[in-house]
Amino acid sequence: MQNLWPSLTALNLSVWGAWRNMGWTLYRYLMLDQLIPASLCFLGLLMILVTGRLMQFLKYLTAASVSATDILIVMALALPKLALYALPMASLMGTVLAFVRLSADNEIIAMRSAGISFRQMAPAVLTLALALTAVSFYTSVRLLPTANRELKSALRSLSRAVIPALLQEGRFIDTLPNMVFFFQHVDTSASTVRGVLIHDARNPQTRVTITAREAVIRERSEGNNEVVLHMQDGMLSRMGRDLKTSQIITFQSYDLVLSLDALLGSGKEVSWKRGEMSLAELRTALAQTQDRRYALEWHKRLALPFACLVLGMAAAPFGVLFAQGRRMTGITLSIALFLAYYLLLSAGNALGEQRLVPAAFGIWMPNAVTASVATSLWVKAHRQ
Amino acid sequence: MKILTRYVLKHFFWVFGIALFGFGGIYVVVDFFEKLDDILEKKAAAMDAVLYFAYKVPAILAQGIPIAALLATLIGLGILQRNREIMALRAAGLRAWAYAGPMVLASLTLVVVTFMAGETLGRSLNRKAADLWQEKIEKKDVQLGFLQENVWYHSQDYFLQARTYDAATKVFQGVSIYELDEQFRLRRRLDAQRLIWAESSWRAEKGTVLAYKGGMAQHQAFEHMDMALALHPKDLAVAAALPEELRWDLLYGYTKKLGAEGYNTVPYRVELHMRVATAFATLILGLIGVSLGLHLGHRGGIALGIALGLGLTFAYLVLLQIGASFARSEILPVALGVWMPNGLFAAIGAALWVRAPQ
Repeated sequence: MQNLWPSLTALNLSVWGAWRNMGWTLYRYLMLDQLIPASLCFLGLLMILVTGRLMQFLKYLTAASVSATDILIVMALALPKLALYALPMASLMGTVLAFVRLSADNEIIAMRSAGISFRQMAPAVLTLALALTAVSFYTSVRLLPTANRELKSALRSLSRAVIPALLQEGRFIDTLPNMVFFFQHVDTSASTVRGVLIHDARNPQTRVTITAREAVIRERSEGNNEVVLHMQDGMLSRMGRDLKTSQIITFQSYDLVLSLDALLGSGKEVSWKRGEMSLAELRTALAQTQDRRYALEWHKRLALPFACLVLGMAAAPFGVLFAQGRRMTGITLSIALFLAYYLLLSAGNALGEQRLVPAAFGIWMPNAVTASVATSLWVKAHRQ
Repeated sequence: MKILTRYVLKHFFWVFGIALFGFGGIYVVVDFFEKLDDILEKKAAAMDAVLYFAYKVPAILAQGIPIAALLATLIGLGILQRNREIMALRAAGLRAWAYAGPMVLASLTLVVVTFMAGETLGRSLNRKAADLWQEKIEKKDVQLGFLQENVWYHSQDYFLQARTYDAATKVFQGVSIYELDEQFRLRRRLDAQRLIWAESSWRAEKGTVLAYKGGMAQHQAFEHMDMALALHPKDLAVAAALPEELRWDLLYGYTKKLGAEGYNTVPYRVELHMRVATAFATLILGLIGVSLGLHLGHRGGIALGIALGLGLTFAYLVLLQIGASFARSEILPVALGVWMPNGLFAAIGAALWVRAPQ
């Protein structure tokens, strides 16, 4: 009896030492296993989402005033918004794929038979989920408003490149509100057109139609942005709405000056939309207007990053709960959980907007629900 | 079907389904939250919002099919490699075509399915979604354009513009018809309240004719006037849609007609080629996926394969878009600009296949 105690203590110590060593090894192993699929998933999703938007940006590429660099800048500015969606998905998929693999290779069984419970794998899962949450948090609070503002002005300057949109042959162009242009033949290099028909419905009382043999299109950007159509040898006809008054004017040369600021709104933005405000600005706007939507946006900025945490934590049990041959079910269910999270969020958002629930409740509810799902799944996987 | 083919295809379609589900899911979520503010601001009915996204799903899935095919081939083969099944098949004397071929053929089938589904279902539903957005969610008057709200039509010698065109009753409201000479000088302008299809020709009601002859303008009102317009109501089915929204065969006919009238048809020809070329993306990415998958050893390496695959995919998609925009701006011939990336990456896929351990 007397001899037994020290030997027991020694045994205890050696087990503890072994566990500490093994714990650290296991932790690193699990981390790396999740990190690879998570980063692949993140990059893959970003790539898919960006190429989806590439189409709309590339149409400006051939405009004279737009360079490839401009396109790259616009794409980079669109990244923070897209990253906010890609990060939770990456957190979820990285973890679920890692655990599906561990379970498929019987490594989970090996660990359990070595006396490691499922709960002891939590630190590794938590570390990755927290790291992604931190990145997401920084993106949401800092990068997003700035990038959205920059993106807005960058896109505006791109969309003001009206001339390339106008220089199309044989089709009715309605880029500018309340006007339709038709050019029979277009020489894009010299910005000249032959066979011009312009329908001007800016004044609802008269229908003005200008036809001309040829025209030169120029952009004037000093002072206020203008597009000038210098037309030659044509006619202008007006017809009143009552079809009783009419006018025909023939001309040798006629300059139609279109102010882009008047047509497309001025390039100088005085007020930002909610997605372009910082947290402090949202609070100020809320205090001034008492508009619920500012409160909802403020909470969304803080709550959305936690999607990485709750979804990442819920993903691990999905990887191990399903037996051989039904592993894909775990992956499918985790994607379904991702969709359910956002479905709940939009429901909470709508309820908050209708003032049926407090703004904070509506926005934080999906996090709470997913967290409780994650907890019950962990308990279930631990007892398995 | 051979047992082996069925077995390989089962792996392929499992991963394909999940990848498409994940891709479609995140795409809808992003799209939804981008538009949520608009939907709430305009106080649109929830049903309309749901319908809008339901209409968009086929078009979104069509975009995801190529990438899902890449992942399905890479992961499907990767799993077979990891389970030493490929090794067993090779030991049994089977060549790569026997176990990887079905995946390539499945990708080819998906090309046809994508193209057909896109042309029949995707395009019309996308149009429905856009209309629904305009009418029910934006609730704004439709701007000038090709829409039924503001019809523009032109033929060799006249232009026609109307406030509305009702295809069911074949009636234009608020019509202006401009007759021009080849110098684009106005010869006659006719404005009428209505233009009606009567049996076999058009009749204008309650309007005026403004004619310009020898430096003099004449203004003349009328109650009824029969018009000899070379225009049949069935032509208007085409005129009512934007060219981008036309079915492939209709757009092909429209492009030929425009070409015959001496107009520049480059944008439409690019569109025609692009629709086929993007459908082929599934085959090309499937081929690249299979070839990379053959290179994977049984000791995992799926992650590396996916990283490489995604890198190649990104390069391919960007090149495809750039080629198309070069073709549009006539820097390159249409067919070359659109098909060059396809040719290049098909060659890369084939080279990877040939060099893979068979």
